[in-house]
Amino acid sequence: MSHLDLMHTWERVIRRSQLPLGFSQGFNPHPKMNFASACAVGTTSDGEYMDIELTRDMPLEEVKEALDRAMPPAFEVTQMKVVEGKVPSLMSIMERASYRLRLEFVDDVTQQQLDAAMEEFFKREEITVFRYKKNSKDKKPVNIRPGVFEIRMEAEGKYAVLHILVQTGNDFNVRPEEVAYGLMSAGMPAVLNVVRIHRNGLYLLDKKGNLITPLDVV
Amino acid sequence: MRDWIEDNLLGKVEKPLRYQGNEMNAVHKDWDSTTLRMVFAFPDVYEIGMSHLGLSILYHQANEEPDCLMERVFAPWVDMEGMMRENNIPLFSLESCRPVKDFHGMAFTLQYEMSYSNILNMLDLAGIPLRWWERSDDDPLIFMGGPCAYNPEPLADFADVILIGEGEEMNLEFYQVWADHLRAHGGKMNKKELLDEVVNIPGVYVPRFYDVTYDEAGRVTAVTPNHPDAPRTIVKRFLKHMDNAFFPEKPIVPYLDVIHDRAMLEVQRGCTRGCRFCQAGMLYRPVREKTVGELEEQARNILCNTGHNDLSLTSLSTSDYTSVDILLRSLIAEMAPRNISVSLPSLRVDNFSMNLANEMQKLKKTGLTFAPEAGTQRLRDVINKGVLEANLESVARMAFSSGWSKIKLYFMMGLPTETDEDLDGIAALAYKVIQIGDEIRRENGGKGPSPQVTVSVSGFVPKPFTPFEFEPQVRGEELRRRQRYLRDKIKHKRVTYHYHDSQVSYIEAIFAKGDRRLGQVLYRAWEKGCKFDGWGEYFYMDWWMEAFEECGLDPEFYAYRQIPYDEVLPWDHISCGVRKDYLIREHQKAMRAETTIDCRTGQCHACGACQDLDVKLDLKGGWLRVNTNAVPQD
Repeated sequence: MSHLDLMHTWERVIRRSQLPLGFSQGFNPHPKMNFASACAVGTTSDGEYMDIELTRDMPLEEVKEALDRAMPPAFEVTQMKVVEGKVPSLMSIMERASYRLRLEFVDDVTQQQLDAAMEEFFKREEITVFRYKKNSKDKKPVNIRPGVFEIRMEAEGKYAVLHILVQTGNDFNVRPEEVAYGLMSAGMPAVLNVVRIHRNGLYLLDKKGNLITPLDVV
Repeated sequence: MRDWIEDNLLGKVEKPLRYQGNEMNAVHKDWDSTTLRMVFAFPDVYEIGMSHLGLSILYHQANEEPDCLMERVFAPWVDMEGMMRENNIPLFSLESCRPVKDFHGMAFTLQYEMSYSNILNMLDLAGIPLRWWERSDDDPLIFMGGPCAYNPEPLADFADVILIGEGEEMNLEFYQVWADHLRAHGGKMNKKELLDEVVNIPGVYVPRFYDVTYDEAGRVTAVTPNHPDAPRTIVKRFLKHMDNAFFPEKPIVPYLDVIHDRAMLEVQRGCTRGCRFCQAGMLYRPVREKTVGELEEQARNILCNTGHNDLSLTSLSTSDYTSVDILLRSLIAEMAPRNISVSLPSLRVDNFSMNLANEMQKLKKTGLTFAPEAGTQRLRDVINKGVLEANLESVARMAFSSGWSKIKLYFMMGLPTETDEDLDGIAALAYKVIQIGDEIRRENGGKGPSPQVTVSVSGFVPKPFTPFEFEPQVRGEELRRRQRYLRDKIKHKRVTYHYHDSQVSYIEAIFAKGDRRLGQVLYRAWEKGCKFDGWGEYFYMDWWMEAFEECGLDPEFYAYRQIPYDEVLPWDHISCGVRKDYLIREHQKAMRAETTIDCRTGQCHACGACQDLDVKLDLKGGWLRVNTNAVPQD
């Protein structure tokens, strides 16, 4: 699902829930909803965050009940907190994203091959991948190495499960499939297909550098 | 199967949500506890099919029947089809992700001729033999309906059953007979027996129960029933009143941005303006309106159940709904505070509609679209489009003064009797509108964006059951000359000129008025790879022409021939209520450029709908006001 489709879906959920959604002023009023991070088409997720602004105070349980009634299949609100006053946007405070990917290789792979590629990946200072420029067929090189913090891989015959922790946010963003390409440039056997991309969660860093969620901050 | 498809295919295709289902308000019924299981097949992509109100009505209505189940399937886009074929994945339904072949029936809706090749392709992808005589009792029953079903002859080889007319009542009767049959046969079908039973339901047409004879020139000489119960004429089904007609108040809400991503509410059915090119205007007679009270109630429920932020009041011409101003004002008053906009899909070229437009779009001033259809008054009288040049001028003046800056004008090219003078008229109208816009902008001190006009021209396709069914289509080479002629006439940097492909409209004309023999052509064209013909990039004229040649049929015979009034037409055994003699009268008046006034004014022209069918005009707000076309005096 594209980010735009997701935003429309949420607007409709809130409208169906009959909650008093706030709207921006102006000629084209927009519902006051903000998302932490856009998810690419085809990516599933267990950890998304959004802010919504209501026009009056309501007990959280009531809001949750109303949303649950209006939710389409496969969507679930797991936790909610009240945010008072002006706060920075979710998008601007996000720093880390963790993903789980399933890779399909051309041939069977061994754990040793994967471990060697991971070691090589972190040894290097630059891991270059190519990104398409907006509205153009040209590609530009991007060094993703500084934005990749953790990689774990488990070989399963022709498949491997890849767990990664990468940078996200307004300044720099590493896309999960780019880590797979980067690993190939570090000697990992050729990937035939990225079967499934799943986002486990989005995080901020506390003062000690530990991962925390936006709900821990409120 | 769903997991495998999600893991291995959906990641690689454009818009995977097309194949995923699971939307809000989609109906998931228990497979084993239903008797009759059907899949509604829309022969185009998801975004188009899900914008279609007919699907929504028939899908939800079928699923409200305790013993019926209806799921959905759309034509997979070319990328997905390739992967499905490569991996031997058969066409599957969205709801339960089951092979279409596992259902008892597959219902195709016939909305436009250029989707026919997709029907064949979908059957093939489903692993269902294409022609009825190749199918066994274990294959699904293939049934079809919709506006193109009024001349279903080109599809006679592929359909088991065609349902003629409005489906709400007929379909339920059909499902009931079918479900009873399944119960009596332990859940299996004996198609021969089943057809013997359903042929007795009014509106049901079983093409194989009719023999067609042709003369040496290829003209149909007779269509004769070969089954004792098959009626000589199949008369369309219709709802006598729209009050209390089934309407889905919990429609599916797509995740994907579909073409009409809004709540749709049908305010009335039918249109009696009598435009002579318009097939829908003849097929859905007479006009039957819903009450304001019922519409308000339905609007409330639909918006509450979908969460849409836009409500569209649909029908063939909503601004003709006799209580449209009352309805609009009340809906806007209720919806505006909730930031829900209310809109009409099309506007007539008159001040009344313009006031409505102002009412609707107090905030947003996007483009406005009008359809004068022809460039001169003479030709507009020929086609009975009651638009005067003065209407258009005053409407353009109002539009520009109320803040619109972009106006789109729709025209048809190749209408009967058209000359270059009529094309000059199109260019002149566009220039006139720009000139009006410039004047108003100057009066306002040159503020705001410069006025822009888009002229959009499509090729005229003569359709069955219209006064122009006798008319030939203008030849391709001549149409292209006219396109160039008009293009050279429009040399203004703020007038954009769009033209639709003439080759596609040639094939459309052939199939619109085609007979049974076109089934072979369609089959041959599909074998060559024809599909998504309505999508320019997949239309291959050469394949179609080769298919005609290989079948020994002359495409020009179908599209370019003036048909005499007394010739037997391939669809003469089907009746939409409007009599052929009325169409002939209207054709003669067209040739004399005489107009016919809307019967909603109280003047009946005895078209046949109210005379031969047990139905009357049902207008809730009294006779239509005739003076709505008048130009204001100020």
